[in-house]
Amino acid sequence: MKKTGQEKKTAYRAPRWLRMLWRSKTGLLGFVIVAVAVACALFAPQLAPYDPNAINPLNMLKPPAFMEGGDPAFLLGTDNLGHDILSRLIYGARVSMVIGIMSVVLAGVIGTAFGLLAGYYGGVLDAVVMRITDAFHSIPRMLLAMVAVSLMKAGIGTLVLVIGVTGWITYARLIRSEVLVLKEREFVKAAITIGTPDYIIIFRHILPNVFSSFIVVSTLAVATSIIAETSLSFLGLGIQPPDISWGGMLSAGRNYLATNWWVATMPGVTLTLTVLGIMFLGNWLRDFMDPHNQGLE
Amino acid sequence: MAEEYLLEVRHLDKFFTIKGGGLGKKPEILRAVSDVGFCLKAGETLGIVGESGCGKSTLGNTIIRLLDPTSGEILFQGKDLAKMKKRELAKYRPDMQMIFQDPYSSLNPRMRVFDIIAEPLRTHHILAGKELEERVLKLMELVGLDVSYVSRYPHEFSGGQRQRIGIARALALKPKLIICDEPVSALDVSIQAQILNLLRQLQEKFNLAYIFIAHGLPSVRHISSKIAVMYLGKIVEMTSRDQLFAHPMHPYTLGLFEAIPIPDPSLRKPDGEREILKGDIPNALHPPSGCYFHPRCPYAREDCRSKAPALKETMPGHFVACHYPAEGGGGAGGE
Amino acid sequence: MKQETLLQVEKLNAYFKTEDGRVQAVKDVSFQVKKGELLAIVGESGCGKSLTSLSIMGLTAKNCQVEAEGIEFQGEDLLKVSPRRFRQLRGKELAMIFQEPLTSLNPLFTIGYQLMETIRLHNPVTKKQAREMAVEVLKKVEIPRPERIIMEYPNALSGGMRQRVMIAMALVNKPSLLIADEPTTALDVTIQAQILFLMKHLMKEYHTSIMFITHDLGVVAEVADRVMVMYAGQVVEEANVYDLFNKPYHPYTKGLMDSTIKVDQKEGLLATISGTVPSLAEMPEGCRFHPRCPLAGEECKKACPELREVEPGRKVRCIHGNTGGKENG
Repeated sequence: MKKTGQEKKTAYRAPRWLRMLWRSKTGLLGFVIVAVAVACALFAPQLAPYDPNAINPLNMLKPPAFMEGGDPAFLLGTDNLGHDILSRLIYGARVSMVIGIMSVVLAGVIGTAFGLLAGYYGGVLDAVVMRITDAFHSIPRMLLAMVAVSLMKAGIGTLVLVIGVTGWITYARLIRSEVLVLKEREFVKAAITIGTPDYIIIFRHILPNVFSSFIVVSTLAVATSIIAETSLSFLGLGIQPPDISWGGMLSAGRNYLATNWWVATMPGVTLTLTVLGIMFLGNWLRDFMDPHNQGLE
Repeated sequence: MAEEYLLEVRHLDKFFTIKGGGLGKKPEILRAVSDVGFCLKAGETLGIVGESGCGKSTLGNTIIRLLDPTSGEILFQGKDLAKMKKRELAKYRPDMQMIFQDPYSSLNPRMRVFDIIAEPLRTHHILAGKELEERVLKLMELVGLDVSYVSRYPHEFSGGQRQRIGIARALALKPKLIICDEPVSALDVSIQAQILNLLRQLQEKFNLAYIFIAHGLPSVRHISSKIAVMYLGKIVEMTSRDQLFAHPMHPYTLGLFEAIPIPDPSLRKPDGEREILKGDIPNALHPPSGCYFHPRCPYAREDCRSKAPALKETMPGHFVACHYPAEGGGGAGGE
Repeated sequence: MKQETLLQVEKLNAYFKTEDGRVQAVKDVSFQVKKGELLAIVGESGCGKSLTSLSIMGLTAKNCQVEAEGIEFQGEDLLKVSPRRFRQLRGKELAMIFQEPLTSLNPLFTIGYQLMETIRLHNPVTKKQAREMAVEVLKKVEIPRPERIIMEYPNALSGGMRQRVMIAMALVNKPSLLIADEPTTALDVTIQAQILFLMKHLMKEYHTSIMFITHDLGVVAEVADRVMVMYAGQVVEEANVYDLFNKPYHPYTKGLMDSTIKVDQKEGLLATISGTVPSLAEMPEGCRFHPRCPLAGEECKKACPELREVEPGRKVRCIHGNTGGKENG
């Protein structure tokens, strides 16, 4: 009885997200970049051509392979200690990804919890939480990092803590404002008239409906966290050698900018590309999750 | 002897405090519902009609305690809900349910139909497992939903079907009273009639009492046994449906009648013969002095400006808040 | 009496691009608006009535494709005119008002500024003259104290007042055609009555034709001269308002009239149209109304009936319609 619309093909149909991703150029690009970065982080030992910490005085400051005097064995050249830059970049992705994701998880959990409670219950609780976020807003992240590093051992754990703890306010504010809107939606009112307890309303009716904005903001937050990690490491407050991070590489290459530009430029470009890729993916996710874009299905 | 009422509302007020915008502005008080009272028996329908800002939805939300009343009593089977604490109120929640206006916002988009209808039964631990499943399917059948849709999500349904899901959820706990807050105004014409018919059939079957809130008289007339007309937070006229339609007394009620478009061009009145109410609905934050309706009332006199009329029983069972109810009265007795 | 044709639409088709390909939202819609008449287009949500009007104004969304054999307005084909000429026509000869007046007014500018801008865009007048014209037209739409209102911002006005302002803005350049897309749906009943009366009145004064889009048959009966009923993207019936209400030929029109709740509704259950409006992607084969139609037979499932002129000025898209539906009417 039903006419199958237009020239609909009965063959295999890719899932909706894949079809939409394929159609978005920037989204696809972002997805590829992020996939590569994640793969590097996961399989660094397999992918890296050399031991990233192997010092080789014979191959100091070799230019990238595509330049004059470059050695095809060192695709992106070597640094002042003869480390293979490509291998270090691949290992550096680990730190960036771990810190990017862990700090966002930490920030997300704290922020969402406070946002939900403040938004749902309102009143005094709301006022207190919002004033705390104001207070956190006024503390510079760098200052907090310096204090934390001087109190604790510098390293991944400390970095995650610092970036996570300064990042939760974004979530708290976002989730709170979403909850304020959702609370007025009629399905929440219906749940109240049924006699549903508050915790069920929060977990069943509100949380799943803030999830899409949560994911979108988290993606973008990963990018910000990676930049934060890099800047802290660059300043010597983050990852300490011999652990490898893009920020540390930037910092080490700084002195050779005039003579051997690639040492600092390669991690810089990698960082930029990665962040750009995450941003693209995040923007695409936002469009994808917007119910207005779900088409006439 | 007092009759056995299911719901008795007495002198109910619901005021909101509006924070002043800008510096030095005092907070203002919005009297959304003021001094409202009525009674409702089991199986009866009270229709509440009025235009935007008249407080009809606030009244519905206050009775079901989605909002806390400012003062007054809400006697449900003799118990005053108005002052009850949350914990105690939970016992009475199942007896009083609500159907909402917007079929798109009234269902959680991330829950399947089954879970939506089952939620009240699960919350109150009434049924579980196989029995729960049977009951949900039965409810779906009852409201005219195809049971094979049980595991679909709300967005796969049309507006009318979504409204049926909302009705099934409201019926799950076998309530005695359902507050219907404009249940058909967001629906297409051909669907409105379907939903109104369904509500009537369910009422007969389960002896339900309805409070039916709407902005238009036609749908209210179809379903109500008693009608209250509200204007700026107050009831201006209340009586049985037949009496209201035969002898409307308040000039505002008359204006509402006049404004209803008549779906028959042969009854079109020549220009100028229709008595259209003039002026705008005043801002509820700054209502006019005296009788709230006087600036729009074609029969207003000097004292209407200064003195607010009380809701009086002008004829047996016919309450009107007007100093001169017979003036505009369409054939009303009196003078 | 022969009326001059103002707008002639021939075979208008509109499509939406979706992930699953193209779906057709308006199919072969042809009609005309004559000088001085009020044509009502009535139908339920998704019937294509709004899209038809937006197509004429060239205001469709990006993912919408409009095709037509011709949209001739005062001798010019709107599909072929230059963008510059189209801009001249819009606002001057063709005007439109929408359901929600708040979103159609810019909240950052005063009523007067927006009104004067519309005037000066199409008329060579000074600021002072434009201001006078603005006050004049606000008086025409019965806005109290227009000299003060022109200094107000849109959010200071009520819904009814905003719609009056929109009407003023649409009529200030004395257009020959006003397209009104559900102009009273968002308003209260008493305000709706005021606005309908006002539009009827101004239409005569400004010699404007109106294309009035609505879902409310009551409103149609109040204001229309001629009516076009749409269902699922197609025109199903077209008639003079008196003939239509006197005897609807198409079963959908009849169903719609019967299920409209009247004030003097009889007791008992209301008449309904069973089922729901089909979605664009899943149009039934044959007559698009047949799954919901009480008269549907085998033939109705096979082919979609043509829109035929069964009486002068009366068209219906139903194989049962040629008998005038008298037996079943």
